[in-house]
Amino acid sequence: MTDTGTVHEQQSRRVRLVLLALSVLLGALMLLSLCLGRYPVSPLTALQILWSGMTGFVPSVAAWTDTDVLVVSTVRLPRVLVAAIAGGALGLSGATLQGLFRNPLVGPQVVGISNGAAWGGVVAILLGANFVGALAWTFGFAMLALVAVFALSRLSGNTSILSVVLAGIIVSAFFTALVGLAEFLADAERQLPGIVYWLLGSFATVTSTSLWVIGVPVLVAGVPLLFMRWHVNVLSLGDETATALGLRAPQLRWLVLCLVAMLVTAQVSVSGAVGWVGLVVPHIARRLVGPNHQALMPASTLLGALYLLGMDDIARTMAEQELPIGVLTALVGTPVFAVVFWRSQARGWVRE
Amino acid sequence: MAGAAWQARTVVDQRGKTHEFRTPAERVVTIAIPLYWHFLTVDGSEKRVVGANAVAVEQMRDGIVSRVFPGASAVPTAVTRGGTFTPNVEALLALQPDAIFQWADRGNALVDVLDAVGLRTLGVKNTNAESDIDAWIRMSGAAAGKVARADSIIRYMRGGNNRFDAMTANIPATQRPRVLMLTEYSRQITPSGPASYGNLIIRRAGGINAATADGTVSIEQVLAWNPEVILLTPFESKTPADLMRDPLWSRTPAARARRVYKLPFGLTRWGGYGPESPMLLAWLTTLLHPAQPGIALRDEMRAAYRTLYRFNATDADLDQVLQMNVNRASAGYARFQATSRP
Repeated sequence: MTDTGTVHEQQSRRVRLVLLALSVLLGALMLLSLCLGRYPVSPLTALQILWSGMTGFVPSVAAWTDTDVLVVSTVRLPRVLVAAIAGGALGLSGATLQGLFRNPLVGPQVVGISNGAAWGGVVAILLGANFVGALAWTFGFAMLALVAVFALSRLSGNTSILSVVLAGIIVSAFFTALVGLAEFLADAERQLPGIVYWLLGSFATVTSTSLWVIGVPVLVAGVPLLFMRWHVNVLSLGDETATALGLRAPQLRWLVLCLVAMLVTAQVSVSGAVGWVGLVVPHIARRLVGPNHQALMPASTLLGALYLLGMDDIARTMAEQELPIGVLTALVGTPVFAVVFWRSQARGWVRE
Repeated sequence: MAGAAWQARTVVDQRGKTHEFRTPAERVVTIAIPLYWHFLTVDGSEKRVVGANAVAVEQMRDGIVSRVFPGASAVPTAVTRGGTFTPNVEALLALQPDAIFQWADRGNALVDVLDAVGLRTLGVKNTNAESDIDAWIRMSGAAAGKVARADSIIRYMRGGNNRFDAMTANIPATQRPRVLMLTEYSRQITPSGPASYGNLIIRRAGGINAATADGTVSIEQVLAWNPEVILLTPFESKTPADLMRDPLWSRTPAARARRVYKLPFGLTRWGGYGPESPMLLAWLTTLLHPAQPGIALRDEMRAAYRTLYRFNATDADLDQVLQMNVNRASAGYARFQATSRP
């Protein structure tokens, strides 16, 4: 017992160190991101503006203009926070789903949530809804997709992993078709560009309002989810084990799925469809802290935030144009995922 | 033209195919959206058009275009599938058109399918070049049997270009304001960059294009460009007043000087090359260089509408075209009022 106890202690020390390092890195990247942008504000000035905003201290000879302050506080700060929150939400969603389905190829797309949410967002554009309406439509259709997946998977008599994934594929395909139909019928001049741009994903239109739109649902869903790490661990061992440990596995699984749906819709409603975060990030996190969800879920959250924030920094600073973030994450994410996949296959998923 | 014998006309379309019109086309279909409007302009009537793209027909519903061409919004639209450019071949065969205007730069399939059933298809292209629009008007003239009229419209457009090129040629760079033309700003920020036609309009009117990129940009990039004049196209639903109230946009020199304007909306949205572009150049040159003499915008517009469309525009019509109400808070716009004389 003492041996395993020491190993366990060593591991949890390592995990604590990794989580601490990721948190420090995230803080540093957020500060750095506030210094980056197309409008020329020197990094020192940006940090001084931030410091002045936090402490109320204004130097006697202010070295900046009102526009500098606006750029840092009204343009960059909300965007940096929203990108980090969105990345964290996607990282957490991915880690949770992969545990829940005991399948490393699962992401929010696979269980229908993303496509349902995407269709909800398209409906909001077609109806010209405001941000509250957009959030409602997005969440409504994500939940509808989830309910449809649930109902379909019940047809086979049980909610086995395979039947949920298959039902997810069916429902995703249906919502993808609806999005395609909307693109076909949308006003080519007024609505289509908005839909296409939104489907590619972007943080370009983020304002301080977006911070509330994404922040509140992510807190409401993400905090309970992080407290349920142990339950996700048990669910990842299979229903029999979960039942043996006194958990009502199906109900618990759906509760977790609803929380994940809330995370994904919050992200989709502020920045459109951004793929290849929830799928890729948990694999990198697993390399750092191992497969235990107690450590994996917070690590994925932090890593997701780091990853998406870094990608958005590239999207908004590389060129005069905004690069679509969904395209960037896919371009970077797919090769990374291919490497992870290849190396894991070579060694076998079981060893993870 | 009355009494003059009709001569057979041949015209080469923009995919290099030659078409011969022994008699004027009596049944015309326009699938490429802007060709509807250009054909109506050359022919002066909607009577020959038996089918048109739904998007183009929709645009004929409001504004002065609905009075110049009152029947234009009632033309059948079932010639394409879902408002796109994919022809509905059976519906087209049923219409028995003599000429179809179709995009030739969006995949060969869109024209091949019409050629295959023997419909006379004039392929058109849009590369943002003025010569493309000349070609549309020339083809419309050949199809309608109004070659001389088409040529005179092309000359009128060229004349506008030459007049303002000459007027602004000697304005030094230091006196050319940095102009940012935006298709949209509220939902996403889409400037008219170096690849756009707006780039040429801004230069002709004596400005410098503030945008050095096309595509979508961030508000930070706009602030870095520091535009002195901002133009909003009619695609943007918000007004100059909205922009000038916005906490971020209000930081631009353009907003501070209230030099933010919504582009006029005449028979079409102004901003591209076409029969209304000499008026657009007169409008923009006046706003960029208020001291420039020799432009009487309202009189010129009235004369142009009379010549081009045999349409006597009232003061209320011109107010509507110039968006007097939307632009009322913008700097220097009062000079366009009906009562003011420059």
